[in-house]
Amino acid sequence: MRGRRQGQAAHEPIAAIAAALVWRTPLPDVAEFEDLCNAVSALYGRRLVFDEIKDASLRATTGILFEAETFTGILVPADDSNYYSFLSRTHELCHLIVRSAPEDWFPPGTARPHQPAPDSRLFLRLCPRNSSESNDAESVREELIVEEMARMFTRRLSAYADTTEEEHFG
Amino acid sequence: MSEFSAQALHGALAAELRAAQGVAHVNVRAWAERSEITHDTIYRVLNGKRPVTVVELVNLCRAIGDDPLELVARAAKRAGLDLGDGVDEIVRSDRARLALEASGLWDNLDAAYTKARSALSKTGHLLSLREWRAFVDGAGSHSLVIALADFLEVPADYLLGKAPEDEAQRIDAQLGLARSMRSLGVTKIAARSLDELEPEEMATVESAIRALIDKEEGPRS
Repeated sequence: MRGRRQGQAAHEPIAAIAAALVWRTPLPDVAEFEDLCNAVSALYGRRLVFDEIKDASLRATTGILFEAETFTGILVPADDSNYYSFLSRTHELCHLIVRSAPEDWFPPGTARPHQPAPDSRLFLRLCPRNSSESNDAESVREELIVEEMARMFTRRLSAYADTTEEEHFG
Repeated sequence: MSEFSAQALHGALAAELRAAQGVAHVNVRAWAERSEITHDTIYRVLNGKRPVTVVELVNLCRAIGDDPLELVARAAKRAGLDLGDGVDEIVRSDRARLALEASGLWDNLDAAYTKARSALSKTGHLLSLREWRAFVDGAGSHSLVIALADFLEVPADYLLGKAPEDEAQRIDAQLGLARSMRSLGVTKIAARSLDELEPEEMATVESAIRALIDKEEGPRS
């Protein structure tokens, strides 16, 4: 369900926030996924490590983002198509942009979704996309922003810039 | 529970713990190390000289991979008792511990008490040390558990032992994942998924994260 959830301000333009963050991320004119990784790593100030989950028992997970002591890990399922995997990895990078973008990257009148305090019990965040399970309004708002951002980045990065979602999802 | 029944249960628990020790092939020294209970305490419990507390029972069982509820059920059967509230107390104690571990508060329960007392005071609840210990032992009052559930950010029904079984299993898995992640030094984790993660899938995610950390930072002792 992608409609407005409780706690989301009626005037909050998700797409406007997403567009601002995507277009303010410093990338070369012709950018690859690697360029985005480098830009996010510099912005976030941490080493990024990607890996794939090969276990066939994975059913619902499309991406995992975690902070280890010396790096930030991003895991996606090995079985996904190249396009879907690209979207999932980009989605996780977008979370890092949302967390670390300078305040002035956000359009006037909007704000960064609240992040859990470092000692919050909510450091484990599960974000089911098609469920009403997520009752933390700020988690839901961030999820909507990064979903939009990931789609927009497919237009900024050369790999899939000239394709449509319909080609990949049918 | 009558004094006679209580004594019968203590004796039966000691017997079941001795049996579990045999099955696990663990000596008292090793068991003490794993459970963080002194070896002389374990000796006294095993010999029936001292009743085992709920927290000790949970720790002893976990240290050898036994299920505390099953062990209590075996002990009750051995003693010819029908336990209602006793089992409930163990469930609640077990869940309180897991919630505290997931929050990184179990290793120092005194510091955890101070934090909980401070948090609850903001809502007008003055948490006493006796109440705190009752919560850890699975015997906290309904209102106290609700207040501490809010502090621990865990559903109150789960801590009260009232959540449906499938819901409880899912929360068990979530808290277990959080506990495991803390032990690996992970400070934040977000999972994007198409639906709620089932416990088996959480185990797969945990395993994948552990493997990547081992690869990048070396295995933890």
